Amino acid sequence: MSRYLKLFIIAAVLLTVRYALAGGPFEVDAVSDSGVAQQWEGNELKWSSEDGDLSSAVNNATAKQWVNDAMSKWTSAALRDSGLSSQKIVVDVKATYQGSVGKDVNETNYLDYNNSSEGQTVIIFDKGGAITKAETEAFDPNQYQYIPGLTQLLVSDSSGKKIKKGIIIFNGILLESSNPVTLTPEQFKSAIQHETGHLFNLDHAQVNLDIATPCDLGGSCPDAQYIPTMFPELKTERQGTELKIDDKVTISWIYPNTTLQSSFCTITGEIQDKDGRPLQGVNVFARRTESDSLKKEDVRAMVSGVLYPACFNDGHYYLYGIVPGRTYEVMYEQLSPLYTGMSGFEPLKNPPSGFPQQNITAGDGSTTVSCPSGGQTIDMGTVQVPVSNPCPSSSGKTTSGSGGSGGGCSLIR
Amino acid sequence: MKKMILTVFVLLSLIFPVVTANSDQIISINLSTIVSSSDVAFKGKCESKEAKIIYPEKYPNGLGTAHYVFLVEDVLKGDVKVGDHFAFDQINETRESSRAKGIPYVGTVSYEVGKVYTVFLSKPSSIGLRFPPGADQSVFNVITDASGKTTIVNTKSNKGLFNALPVQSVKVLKSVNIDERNPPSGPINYDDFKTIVEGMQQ
Repeated sequence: MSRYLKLFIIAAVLLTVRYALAGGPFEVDAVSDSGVAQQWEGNELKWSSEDGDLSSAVNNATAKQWVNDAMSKWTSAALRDSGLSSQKIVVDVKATYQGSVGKDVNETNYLDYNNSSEGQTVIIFDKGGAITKAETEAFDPNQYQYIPGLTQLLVSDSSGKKIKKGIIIFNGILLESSNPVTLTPEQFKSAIQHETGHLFNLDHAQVNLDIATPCDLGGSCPDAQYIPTMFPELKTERQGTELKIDDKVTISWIYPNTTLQSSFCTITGEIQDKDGRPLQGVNVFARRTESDSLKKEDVRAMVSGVLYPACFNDGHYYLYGIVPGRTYEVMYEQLSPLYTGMSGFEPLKNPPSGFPQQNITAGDGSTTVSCPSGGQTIDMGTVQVPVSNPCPSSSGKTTSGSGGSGGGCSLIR
Repeated sequence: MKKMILTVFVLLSLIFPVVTANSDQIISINLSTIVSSSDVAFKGKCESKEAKIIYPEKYPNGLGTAHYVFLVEDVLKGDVKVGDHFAFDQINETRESSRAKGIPYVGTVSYEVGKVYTVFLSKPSSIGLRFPPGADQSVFNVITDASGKTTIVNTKSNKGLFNALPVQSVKVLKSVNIDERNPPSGPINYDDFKTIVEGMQQ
């Protein structure tokens, strides 16, 4: 083999782009299928901006400040532990601003950054929406008018575990009154919070669906404070005002620090179909039970099998940030058919449906669980959902056995 | 040698696809926006669907589209007549296939042959494709009950359709006795819906 061919192959591996999964992390290791979420290399998201304004009313400096504020919320995610007196930082990731690329990025030059070559991660302010339009108009001439931001993770390393480059294009046309859909600055900042979450490798979260469903953006939304930033639809500007527990738990387990691991517990288990095969695509959540408000506030969710590609034989879930000494119930439910396609959940494009929300009981039959001290794992065992598996039985690879132990026993270890 | 290495990397940058895994939030659009953003709107029966691959020279493995033909039963907007066999092409790529081809994913909307829909469609794009404004927000299932009453509903249970409407549109709602401060959610009478859509075009 010539040295140039070797070089080509090595470079090809280095520059391999990994595709997105959802319902927890956006990207997972799809090289060795190790069941881990990708992290930014060195736990540091180095981002640059450009010189253009976001809209006629939002200049470059303000737009950069909005992005910086959003990044800071993610990198300072904190949870209350069993003491409940103060919040403790549970995340180990930095966002470092690298300055501007030194020019106004527009529809004529954005492909210099929106490509799968190694390079800078750039946040682009698309005043007037021309870049978003260029990306989408061949397929839908209107869609650029409804997309506040596009986020892509573009390059990962050869291990498939580290993110090296991404991009966000924020579409300023949604801030212009001439656009058919107009967002207020506060609503747009919520979208920035959401898109930066994707850049950190978070995907959409189905948490408090019952609260979010009746809400309309700009209309009344009782309990808006409980809708997470990473909910798939922008329902209220409050989604970005502060991170919710599910948002904080997700960023922290993707980038855990020792506090998350030592001061909090994890609930895990496996979802199977009616025939006992691992089942991906079921939303599992754990929530506090002491009061109605805690049931809405202290919730975290994960889609079963989301740490592996579609139709991989894995149905595990991991619910982190469980406060020791507190009581939780664990539930499974179908992913909402309201959110499919680009605002949907993966790993399955047609996740299992037609089953009711159900409590997952512990091995002793109790409907709630708790752990006495941090660092422990509560194993809910295996639960069978009375539904057919959307994946053919011959499909997929199998996990090496991490997670649930099977047999339906509850085990604290 | 340096030139050769540079060439290899330049080649690679051309070969590796850009992955536009559009991961963004849905923004609800109201009926006024759906009407103004559409070129045609009609109630009709999906007669046929044919998958087509176009532009193989431009996209890896070509661009997946679907060619649909609808028998038009009623017209709400645009240059189309009752009895027409209205044909259009629409993108037919999934999230996964879009990623693999390095193209933006704009959503998947499909129609079942034999079913009746009320559908709003954009004008043709630069490559001749149409798409419902806001994706499935602009596609309504048509339900006719035993008494012959026809209602329509989209996948979002019509939520947000009447939210933040312009003043003129609010007047139209009142003409069919819909309170814009407390708009209905769920299926809506088709005749009322048609009146609203026609009123929004005046």
